[in-house]
Formats: sequence, structure tokens, C-alpha cells
Amino acid sequence: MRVLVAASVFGLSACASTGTGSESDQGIGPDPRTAPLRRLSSDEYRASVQDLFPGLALPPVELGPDPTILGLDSLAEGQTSSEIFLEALSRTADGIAQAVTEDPDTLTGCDAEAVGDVACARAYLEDLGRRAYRRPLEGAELEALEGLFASSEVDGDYHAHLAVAISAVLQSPYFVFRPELGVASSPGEPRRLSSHEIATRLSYLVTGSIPDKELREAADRDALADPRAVQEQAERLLGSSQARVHLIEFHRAFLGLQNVASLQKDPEAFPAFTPEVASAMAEESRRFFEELLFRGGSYRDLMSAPFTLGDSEERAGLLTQPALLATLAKKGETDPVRRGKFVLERILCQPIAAPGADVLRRFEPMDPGATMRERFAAHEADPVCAGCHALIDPIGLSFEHYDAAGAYRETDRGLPLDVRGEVLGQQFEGPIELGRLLGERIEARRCYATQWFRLAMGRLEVPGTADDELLDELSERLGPDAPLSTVLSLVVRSRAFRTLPEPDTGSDG
Amino acid sequence: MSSIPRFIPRRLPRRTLLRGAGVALGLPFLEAMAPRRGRAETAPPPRRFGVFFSPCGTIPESWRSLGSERDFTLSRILEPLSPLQRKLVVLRGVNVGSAEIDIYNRRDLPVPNAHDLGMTHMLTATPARIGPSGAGRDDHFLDGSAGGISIDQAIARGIGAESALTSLELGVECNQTFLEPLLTRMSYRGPFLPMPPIDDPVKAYLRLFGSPEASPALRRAELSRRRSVLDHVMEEYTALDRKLGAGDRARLEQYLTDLRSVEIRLGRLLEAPERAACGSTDALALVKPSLHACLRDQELRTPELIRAQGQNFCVGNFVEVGTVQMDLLALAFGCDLTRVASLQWSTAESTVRHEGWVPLQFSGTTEHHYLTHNETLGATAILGELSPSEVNLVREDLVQIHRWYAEQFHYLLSKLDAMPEGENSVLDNSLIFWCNELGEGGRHSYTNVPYVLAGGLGGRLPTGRYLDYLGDAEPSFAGPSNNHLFESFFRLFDLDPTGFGDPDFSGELSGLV
Repeated sequence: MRVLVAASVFGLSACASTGTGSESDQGIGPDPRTAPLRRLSSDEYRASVQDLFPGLALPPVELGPDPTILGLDSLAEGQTSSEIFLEALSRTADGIAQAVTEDPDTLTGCDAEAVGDVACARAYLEDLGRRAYRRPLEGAELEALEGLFASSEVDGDYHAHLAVAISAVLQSPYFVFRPELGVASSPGEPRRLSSHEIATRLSYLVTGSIPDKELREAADRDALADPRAVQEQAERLLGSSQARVHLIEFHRAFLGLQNVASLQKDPEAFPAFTPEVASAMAEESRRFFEELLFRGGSYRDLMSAPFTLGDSEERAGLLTQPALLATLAKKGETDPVRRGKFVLERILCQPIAAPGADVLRRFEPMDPGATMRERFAAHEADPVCAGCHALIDPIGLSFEHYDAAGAYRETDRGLPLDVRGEVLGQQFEGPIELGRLLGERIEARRCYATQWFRLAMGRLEVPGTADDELLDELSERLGPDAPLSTVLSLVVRSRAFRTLPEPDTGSDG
Repeated sequence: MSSIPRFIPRRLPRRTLLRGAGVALGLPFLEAMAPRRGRAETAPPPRRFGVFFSPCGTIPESWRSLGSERDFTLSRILEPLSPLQRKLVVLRGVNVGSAEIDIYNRRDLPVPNAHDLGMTHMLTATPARIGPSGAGRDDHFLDGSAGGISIDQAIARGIGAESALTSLELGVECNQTFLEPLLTRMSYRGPFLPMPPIDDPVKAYLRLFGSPEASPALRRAELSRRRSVLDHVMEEYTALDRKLGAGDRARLEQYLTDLRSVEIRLGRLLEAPERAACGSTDALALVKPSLHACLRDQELRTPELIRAQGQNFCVGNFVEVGTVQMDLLALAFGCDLTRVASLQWSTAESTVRHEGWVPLQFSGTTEHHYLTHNETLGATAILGELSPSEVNLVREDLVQIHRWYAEQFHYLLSKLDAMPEGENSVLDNSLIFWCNELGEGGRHSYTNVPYVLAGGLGGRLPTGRYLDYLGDAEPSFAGPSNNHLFESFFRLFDLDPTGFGDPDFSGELSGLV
């Protein structure tokens, strides 16, 4: 029963001391690198291939699930190698290469009779390679691809030979990874990213895919050393259809809303909650983000704007979105703890430690006839519980007017509801007021900027480093009324986005 | 020594419904599928290691068998294994001692999650590592890892080179992206090198047998072509590697290592293509019609459909996927495509609802893990207040879930036992380890973890035994640990355990071998 002792010793301190900060100085885990090598996620790979071969019907791209970190699947630390991944990559690339060479429209524009097979293949591969590797190919690289094209190991016609070389491009580390080697800048200054590397970062940040023609050409001219040019490109890309899909998914990901369409509820308690309703909720949520992100919505709007579909006075802002409320609930009843933790963790970026198994055992059975607030009173009575629940419960219980299916209710089984709460030292009543309050708070905007930072840098922020300054600056400049896309414009202009940190030991440049 | 049947494709009966034949499989068929031994007729049969994982601890009273080492009656939970009792070694009172120590030694997290540590220690007996991203929900490590190699991978390192695949990791609904990595992975090649299980039978099939339609000549051409591409890609990796900093280089080199393994495998298949062909026709017949349709209709698997309907959208449910995975695992062993394999049912902290295939009385719609929090009065009361009689219902439901897993284990064992190999069966030449991340589910304990061994590894491990290290005592960390068990495994496979696991628990499990 040593476990019991440990839990009561540690229980009190658990909230204060748990965070996302790493403990690398103690030699546990790999060191956080400030610009880790990033691999394309499954979604990024799919989008990139689609843009490499526009209009082509592609075979399925499934590279296996990427582990997510705080909802995001494109962070470098979540991406590990495995034989399964590489085999899936090989199978996927082969399938795409075959589809490409079977398509009669793909290989037009070169007269093989006149210039010869090799010259045609060379021109094709040079163009494909520069788009896939997001930079011009070096001479030796192109020669190697040509050699593969001409390989005697391959049986078959011109198309079969070309398919082998295309498959190799689609499995190349220069395509699958985003290596950033940088170029030297003025003495005493950190290495800056090359224009091609900046174009790649920018393109994956905004569209989740390879650079488009205009961005590629800007990179070819080395025109992206100027932060204003980078910002202009970012704002231009924001208007693309790829950006629309990608950035809405990004919001759904960090808010944990990607599985709304497949939510299920207890059919006896919520007979009206059908798969169609769940799909409609997901769609409503998607449109809400689209409206805000692409029509100049601000952080204040995110937290308090009225809805398009759920248009009653019971709804305003993200926190009363049915998709969110139904996600943050159990099958049959509400879940104030999850709702409270969501606000703390995903809106304020304040992680909360959960009780260990033994802290949980302190709980007495609760009265199912009582309201959640009455049941949760037990948390206050016990100092071990109160350590964390004093933060969680006042937020979570304020959502009680919204049931487990996300619908508004005046009472809970006839019992009156008390939805007063407290966050960041301020009192409020219900999630609409909570949203209005958070819409004005810089702590919440800093957290929102942090999500963009993670997407842009492919890693979590490291407290106590230069990341702090950048995040402080972003949150100060993102006023409550500024368009949400302001964060994007600011991030891409930042030094962190355009330069490389000091190389880690062992680098030979 | 025994004579080993040769692989003779012509004599394979074109049986279309192996599944329907159930356990009583036709022997000629299976004999034809038995691994080819290219060398001397007297070569010893292959030794194999399998892991079968089921989650969330157990109900110790209902798991406890009674009797002596050689004369015992299987418990209610284990009763479905009775027909194969003489091929089992049931263990009681073995702990995951290293996990307990890990909890006390940690400075990075005051109270690490019990399932995280249970899962990572289960096969490694090594302290878990937290990653750069720290911890999140319920103190789960966001990007953490086991601290060392797992027993299956250690054995694969020793014997895996003898077959086409070094090891095979299969799963059933174990890649839910909302779960943290430590919960979903049990097999590791080393720190931060998890072996992700394939939980889509279509992908598992393709990995084992390649395209369902390919002729041997086509297959050979494809393998040769793939090897050319692979060589090219590996050269690019090497060139890029030289340009990177140390941290990124370590990351890229892991991909290179894996590419080399893939290349080695391609080479083996090119040298002995009949190995991959073994059973492929019949694997197609074996797989359920739904999977068969999936293999044909790959184009249906759009990302939207997969996202909406889950990873295995065209293969029914938990039960059906699990059955096909067990069939494929048995086939992979039978055809000697691999000598080390694992099957992971769900994850630690399982979110599976067993309604519909397990007779549940209390709450079929409740996730397995949540049920474990309600099995004793005064626990977290996720289901609201429970009366003593309701608590009994929940505990009975959990017994039924564990019994169901015992039935699945029996299904796998009987498949392996129905494949003759020399004078024995494939099961007899294997060692299959049924494990769990926790001991008592309700307490989330690391003591008295439910373990069962099956198969005698060619007679090296005497079976039909019950080793009870606990008796009537209370579970405590004074008892033996999984690390001791693993040291015995090393000896059974004639491998050196040096460097494996927690040095505080060195030595073999007394009385096992």
C-alpha cells in the first residue's frame, strides 16, 4: 500500500508542478531541438501528391496514423520511423506512379520520337523533382533518377520505367522530409533559411502542401529573404482553397473536434442525437471556423460571435458550439471536469494534472439524483481534491445549461441550475459570459497564438527560452479586435520562422 | 529427429472456407502450409515467440485457479482454455516490480499515469521515458516512450533473421489517435522506437502476402523493381544524413536502419519467393468475405470515409477484425513468414465497449476502462452511485469480458495447435505469452498480473502446469517480477539477457524451466 502514501504526498503538488515543460537537463528523452527535422504527415503527403499531379484521381494514400501531440499530428516529436511506415510509403508511391503513367494526359508535351525517351524522361523528372523537393534538383540527383529510369532491373515499356523513377521521387527523403540546411548570413547572425526553405515552411503552414507556382517562382528569384515578401505571400496563400481546408482542420485538431461526426450518445437519453445530427454539428462547427478565419473574424468573435445555424440567445462563440459541448460530455450525462479542463488546457494552455488512481479512490459514491454542482461539492471539502478542482470545477460547472448532446436546458431533471463560475480571478455566469470574458484576456490570446506557433515550428514551445518573447509579442500584437490571421502574418515575419538556431553539436554543416 | 513435410503447392486443396471449418481444420491442407525446411531433413523445427495482450487488469478472485502445479482446475475466467490445459503454464503472483520502482524514482512527474507505466513496463521491465513535450491529459506522457527494448523485439533480434519478417505486430483497434502513445504501444526496439501494430487486416494481409492477384513472375518483377527504388532512396538518405546536425541525423538514421531491414526482407523474398507464396491463395480464402472485398476495393478507402468510419471501415467490428488478425498471425507462423509476432487487443486504458458480443448485465455501453473504475464500491463512481449489488454486476461483467479474451486466446492457440509440424504442432514449437498491463483492474495495481504461457517451445518448457507464487498471501512486491520471467525466456531461446530490463530484478523465474 505504498501507492496510497505516495499519492497523498504528491497529490497536493500535482497541479502546480505538472506542465508541458521538458526535463531534458536531467537527460531523460531526446533534447528538444529548436528546429527539428519534420516529416510530412499523412494529410500533408496526400495534399502534396494531389498538388504534384493536379486533376489526377489518386489511389488511397495511407501512411498509417501519425501520433498526435495535443491534437496536432505534424509535430516532429510525434513522428517516428518504422518498417510499416516505409512499406506503406513504398506501396503508396508505387500505386501513384502507376496511376500517373497510365493517365494519358500526364506525359504529353514531349515528342519521344524526335528527342528520344531519355530526354523526355529527363525533362519530366526535372520538373517533377523541383516541385516535389521544393527546390531545383542538383545535377547528380537528376542523373541518379535518370539512371533509375534506364535501369535494366525493370521489365517493361517506357511507362513502366518512368513509373519507377516517379515512385523514387515520391519516396525520396527530400520529398518526405523537410530538411532545412540554411544559408550563411551576416557575421554574428544565425543562419537564415534559404528562400526555398522559407517557401516550404510557409506553404505547409498555410496550405498543408507544396508551394504553388507563384511561391516557387518567388523562391527561385531568392525573393523571400525579405520578411515583408514572406508576409505578402502568406496573405496571398490564405485565399487559396487548400488553405481553407487546411486551416479549418488545424483548428478542429487543436480543439479536439475532429471526431464530432462520429459521436454517439446514449440512445435512450438522447433519441434525437442521430448520425445526421452529429454530421450537421460537425459541419456547423467547420463553417464557424471558416467564417471567422476567412472573413476577418477576431479572437473576440471566436469567443463570442453568434452562430449561423444555432441562432438563439443561448449560443455565442466557440464555447457554446453544440459540437464542442457534445464532444466534451459523456454518453448519458455532462462532464464538467472535461469541460473545465478543456478551457484550461486548450483555451488557456494551462495543463492540469489528473488525480492518480489513489486520489480517485478518495471519492465517495455520488448521489445520481443531485445536480452536478451538488455532487461536485465533495471536491471542495477535501483539500487534496480541491488543489486541482478549485480551478476546474468553477469553469466546468458553468456549462450545466448544456446537456451531454449539446442542447440547451433550463433545468437538470427539474432541478434549478447555478452556473456561476470563476476564471483568472474574474467572476462570470454561464459559458457565454465566460467566452466574452476570455475574448478580452491576453492569456487566452497568447494560448491561441501558441497553437499557431506549434503548427508553424513543428514543435511545442519551450518555456524559459526565446519562445517566451515571441509568444509574448504575438499575444500583445494580436488585439481582441484584430483578425485571427494577424497571428499568421506576425509568425511568418518572426526571426524564429526565418532563421535556424545554432546547429546542435556534431553538425558538419 | 522428426521429418518435416515439404511445401508442395500442387497438393493444396482449394478449400474456400477455412474459417467455417473452425478448429477441426483439414490436416493435409495445413501440412502443405507447414514451413519448408530447405536444409537437412533433421533441422530442428523453428522456435517462435508470440505475445497476446488484453487490457485493464483482471478480477483476481475470478482469475485465480485452484490446485497444485500438476493437478489444477482452471478458474472461471480461464475455463475456456480447458481443452488445451496440458499445453499451458498458468502463472499467479508475478508482478511488474520495475513499474512500482519507477513511480517512486520519478522526478519529472509526481504521479505518472498507471496505465502508461503498466504498458511500457509490461514487456520491457524498464523505466519509462518522458519526451520533450512533457505530459498532458491525466498525466499521460505526450511523446514519451518505453525506456528500453521489449522482450519480443529482443527475441526477434536473436532469431528474427531466420524468417522473411523479423517480427510482425498486429492489433485490434489500437491506433486511436486520441490516446497518448504510451497507452497504444507495447513493443519497442529501444527508447523512442515503438513498433506500431497494424490494426487493419487489409494492411496486414498486404504486408504478409503482397497484392492478392500477383502471379509469381509478376511478384518477382515487382520485388526486383522495388529493390532498385529502395537502393536509390537509401543513397539519397545517406547523402542527406551527411548534411544534417546530430539530432536530426539520429532521427534520419533510424529510417535508414528500417530501410535496410526492408531491403533485407526483399532480398530474402527474392531468394525464396515460395515462402511468401505459402498460403497466400488460401490466406485470401481465409480472410472474411468483407476483407476480401476490401482488398479488391482499395479505391473505396478515401480519407473521408476512413475518418468518418474508423480505420477498418470495411471490416466489421472488434470481434471480426480480431478473428482475421488471429488467422493471419497463425498463417504467418505456419508459413514461417515470421518467428516473432504480437497481437494487441485494444490499448491500455481500453475504450472498447464490449456490448453485443459479451453477455453484459450492468452497462454494455460503458467502456472497459471505465468499468474497472467501478468494480469496487467507493471508486470513481463514473456511473454514478452504485449499490453493493450493482458493484457485483459490474464485477461480473468484467469477468465476462476477461472470459471472452480467454476464448480468443483459445481460438489462436487451437489454430496453431491444428498446424502439424514434425511430430508436434506449430503451437508445441512456440512460446505464446498472454499478458496485461495491470494486475487488479480496479486498483490499477502492478502486483499479481494475470499471465499465461502456452506451447512448450519444442519441449524445452514443460507445460500443463500451474505456478502459484502467491498462495493465500496478499499481493506484494516481495513476489517475483516479469523481469525474472523474461530472463527465463532468454534462456529458453538460448539468448543472452545481458543489458535487458531492470538490473534490480535479475535472475530467472524460479521453478519455471
